[in-house]
Amino acid sequence: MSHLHIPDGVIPPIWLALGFSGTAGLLALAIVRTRREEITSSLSRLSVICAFMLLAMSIPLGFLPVHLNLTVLAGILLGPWLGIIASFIVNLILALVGHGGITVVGLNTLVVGSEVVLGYYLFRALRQHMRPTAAAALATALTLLVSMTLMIGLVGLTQIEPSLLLHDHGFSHEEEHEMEALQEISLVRFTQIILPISLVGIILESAVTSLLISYLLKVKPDLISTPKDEGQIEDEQGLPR
Amino acid sequence: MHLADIDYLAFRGDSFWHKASALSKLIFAAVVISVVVVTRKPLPLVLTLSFLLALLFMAGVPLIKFGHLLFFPALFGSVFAFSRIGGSWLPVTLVIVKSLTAASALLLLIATTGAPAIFACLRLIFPPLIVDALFITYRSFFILLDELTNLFTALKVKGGYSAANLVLNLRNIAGALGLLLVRSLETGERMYKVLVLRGYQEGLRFGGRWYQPTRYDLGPLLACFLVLAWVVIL
Repeated sequence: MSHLHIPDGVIPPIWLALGFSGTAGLLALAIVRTRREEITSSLSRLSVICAFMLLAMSIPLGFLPVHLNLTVLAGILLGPWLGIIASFIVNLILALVGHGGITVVGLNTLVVGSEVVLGYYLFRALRQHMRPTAAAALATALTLLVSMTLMIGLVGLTQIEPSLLLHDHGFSHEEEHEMEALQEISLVRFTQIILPISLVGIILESAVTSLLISYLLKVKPDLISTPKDEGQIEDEQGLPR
Repeated sequence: MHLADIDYLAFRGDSFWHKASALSKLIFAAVVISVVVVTRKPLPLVLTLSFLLALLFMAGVPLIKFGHLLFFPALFGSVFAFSRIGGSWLPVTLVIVKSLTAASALLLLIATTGAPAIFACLRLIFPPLIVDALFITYRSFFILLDELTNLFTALKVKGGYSAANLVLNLRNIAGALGLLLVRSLETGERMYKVLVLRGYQEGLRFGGRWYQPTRYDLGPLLACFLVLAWVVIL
């Protein structure tokens, strides 16, 4: 389901700090890895793909309460390291316009970054056994299922306590007990609300990613390379890559 | 997301808040968000939200046009609050007020400050590669937005988009996105050539005076003081 649409002030600060620390570590690693490549070329491609993702997110899909994210496509086109940087940039810009809290950018980058990385590797693995369009659809569906589980897991892990939020502010013991009891079932309720929306989003995202991969293979097939293709190039040229 | 309208307002606005430096406004936004994260008291949060709405009004930000930027965080906040907290109205209201307060602080920042100035300030925290990518992404967004708008208009005019026909929308939007993606990548290649020609090195220079304090900085700094004062006192 991609990024968490959770606003600021809901998740406890410790989790926000952990999210930012994890993101900082991943970004540092991604930048070091990217520096080894042609930085100028990477920068322009990274930026236009980020802009493309932002534009895809702003397209209305009629009556459906979901939007496209195209994170797996970004992973396929950018690779895992640049993809992580793209996740951070897109999340930061989205947060600046109120789409997900600015303090949740760290956690969001981890969730979306996991989609980019997993999508990239799954597509590479699946493409060796099936048609690229099918591989793209399956990789997207599997990746988004994993990220949705991760998102629900994160919400469960953060354990936002209403009694903590409002401690010493006029709540009786009975009310606090009532809220604690409600919280025990609340993750199930959260999942019940999120699941149908997420499943619609997963189906749409898989279909669009598959169509886009099919389009790219017709127009710019060199953009989508796999180990199999690279092996063929290696054999033809006789040079180690 | 109305990024183009926000960008226009940020550059064309002439209020006292527009004239303050980006750094002072960033500090104010950071203070408000810290208050939103840390405080558990409803009264200071409601006061801060009212204060922010008044500032948005004084800065000439039309809430009718940009109100949806506050509505979505409130909506997501309420979905989250109702599902996680349950039927108790006070915690649910608190979560919604928190979402609205943080979103208002960010709207005030981006609607009164040019994005390049914000990114220039972010250079104090982030590595140059990230800031450069942010800046080029922002530029590319507007270049591609024109293309997408034209494609979308063409789709609608030719009957390729209907709010009720999901399959038609999906097929045609995927085609439009495919075309846009290829053009994006071509734009990226052109951008690469321009960067090479100009001898690009990490850390694009920003020519504005984002770092220079002005007398208008007293506004955001005084606002910081006020918010912190009522959070501590109340």
